[in-house]
Order: sequence, then structure tokens, then C-alpha cells
Amino acid sequence: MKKQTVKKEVLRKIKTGEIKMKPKWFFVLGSILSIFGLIGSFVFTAFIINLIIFILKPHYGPNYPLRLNLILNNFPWWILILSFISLISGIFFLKKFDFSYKKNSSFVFLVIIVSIIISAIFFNQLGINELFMKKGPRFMRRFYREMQLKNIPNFRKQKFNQF
Amino acid sequence: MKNKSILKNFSDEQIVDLVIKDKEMFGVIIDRYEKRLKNYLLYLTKDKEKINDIVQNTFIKAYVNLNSFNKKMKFSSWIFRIAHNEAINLLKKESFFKPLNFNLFINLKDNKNDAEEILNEETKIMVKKCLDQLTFDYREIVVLYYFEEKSYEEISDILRISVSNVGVKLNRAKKKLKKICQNIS
Repeated sequence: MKKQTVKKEVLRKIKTGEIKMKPKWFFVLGSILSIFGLIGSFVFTAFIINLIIFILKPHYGPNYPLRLNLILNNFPWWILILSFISLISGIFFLKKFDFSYKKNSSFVFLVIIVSIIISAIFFNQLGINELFMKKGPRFMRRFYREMQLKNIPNFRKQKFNQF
Repeated sequence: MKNKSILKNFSDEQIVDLVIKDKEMFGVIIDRYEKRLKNYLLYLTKDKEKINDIVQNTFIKAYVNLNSFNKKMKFSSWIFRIAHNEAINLLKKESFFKPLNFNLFINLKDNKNDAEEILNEETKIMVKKCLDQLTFDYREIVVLYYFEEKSYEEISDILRISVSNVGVKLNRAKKKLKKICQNIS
């Protein structure tokens, strides 16, 4: 491309409609979706971490090492991968916002991790697992039932206590 | 299109408002930034042909996404950010950022007669020679700060790194540059 043609070429494309300005609503919608994506990813990650805490919750007493071994043997590792993917997607959405780079990135990351863990503990204390086990969507109830069938002690305990 | 002399007093942000209403006003944006963007990219690259393509793509992307421009930000930071992204994309495509050809900068001198300015220009040329040896990310931050005379805040917006990180990177770049210049001289 020769010098001095950049302006001509760009204006030609604008005038002929070859390039069009995206409307304002397109970006507003994008921002709204990003906010939902950000909140959704972090809530989902917190929920999965809550689930992991629930599964790993220690039950001291007779045969404790055996119980722990059983938990680890039957641990659904895919939920760890799922929580990781969810966290990454949350960070992807976060990076879309200007404030993400204005702050120290390691500080932002630390705040996210700490708030996710606190939310997960909060979910756990709130008894969200018991609620999902009883009244949750079908796929969630199925998940908890599968955990019971795998004889994971925490789920067995729930079974005897709750049902 | 409005009279050019009147438009001179308009800020970039005001011009953006005018472009939304009259698309041909985008020509004013091109007039203001074409040379600046080309110079900025010339500091980072050596392929003049590709620079024209990058600048054209930058203006096209700026026009298409003009409604996403946040008026709390400076327009110059926003358009430099687009140019930076375009350059990075090309870098990824074809490892485009080879060492600079020093001779390219000879024609960049302005017509300034003041002795101090000439001295500054000589220093600039010397620094440009040393810049050739710097890695892309350090070179870019030096160019933005010293040649484009951007503030830390503006560089932070262009490179999307924190202001403190800009300071850290710039200090490192200066140290590296000093070492390189000492070796060269």
C-alpha cells in the first residue's frame, strides 16, 4: 500500500458501507453478559469448592484413616477440573473490565481466591448441599445419589440423618 | 464537514461525538493520528509496508468499535491500544518484530533550529540505536514514555498493566538501555 492512501482507503470503506460502526447496544449487551459471566463463574466456582469441602469434611472416630482413604478413592476428580475451568473463565471475564489492570494483578488474584473460598465455606455452613440433596434440580440429586452409592462417608451420613 | 480551522480547537473526544453523527468526520481522526501511529510502529518494527497495513487496520477497528470508546479514558490511549494489539497480532502471526534498521530513523528528524533541540534529537537518535537491542516489551514502554511522551497513566491504559508495573518496567528498561548504550559507545 502506498503512502497517503490510508485515509482515502478507510474513508472509502466507510462511505461505501464496507465497514460499519457497531451500535451502542451491542457493547452494552456485551458488558451485561460479561458481568453475568463474571458473577456466574465465581459463584459456580464457589459452589464447587463448597462441594469439595463437603466431600472432604473429616469425620474423626473409629476407622478414620480408612474413611479418608475411601473418600479419596471415590473422589470425583472431574469437579476439580470443572472448578479450575470455571475459575479461568471468571478471570477471562474479569480481564474485560478496566479496573482489572489498574490494580496489582497478584492482589486481584489473591482477593478472588480468598473471596471464593470464603463464599464456599459460607455455602457449606448455610447447608446448601443438604438443600440440593433434597430439593435441588434432578441432575444435582442424581449426583448426590451417585456419591452415596460410592459409599463416601459424608454422603452416607447425610443419607441416614436427612432421609 | 466543518471548517478545518474550527476543528483544530476540538478535543479528540469531541471529534468522536461528531463522528457518531457524521461518519465522514472520521477523516479528522485519521489526520490527527496517522503520522503518530506510523512513527510509534516504526520504533517497534522495520517493515514500512506492514506498518501501513497495521495503521489502516487500526483505524478500521477504531471506527467499527467507536461506540465502545469510554470517554473517561483518553482517546489517544484507546487508539494506541488498538495499534498495540494489531502489532502484537502480527507479531504472533509471523514473528514480525525483527531488529530495527537504524537508517529508518534518519528521516524522522523535525525541522527544529534550536541548538538544544538539535542536541535532543542527537540523543534521541543515539537512544534509538540502542533501542534496537532491547526486547519488544521494554522497547515499547521506552518508546511510549520518551518518544510519544505518554504519562504513566496513559501507558497503563495502552498496555493494560498497572501504573506501578509501568514504573517497574520502565526502570528495568532504562537500566538495560543504559547498559546497551554504554556497550555501543
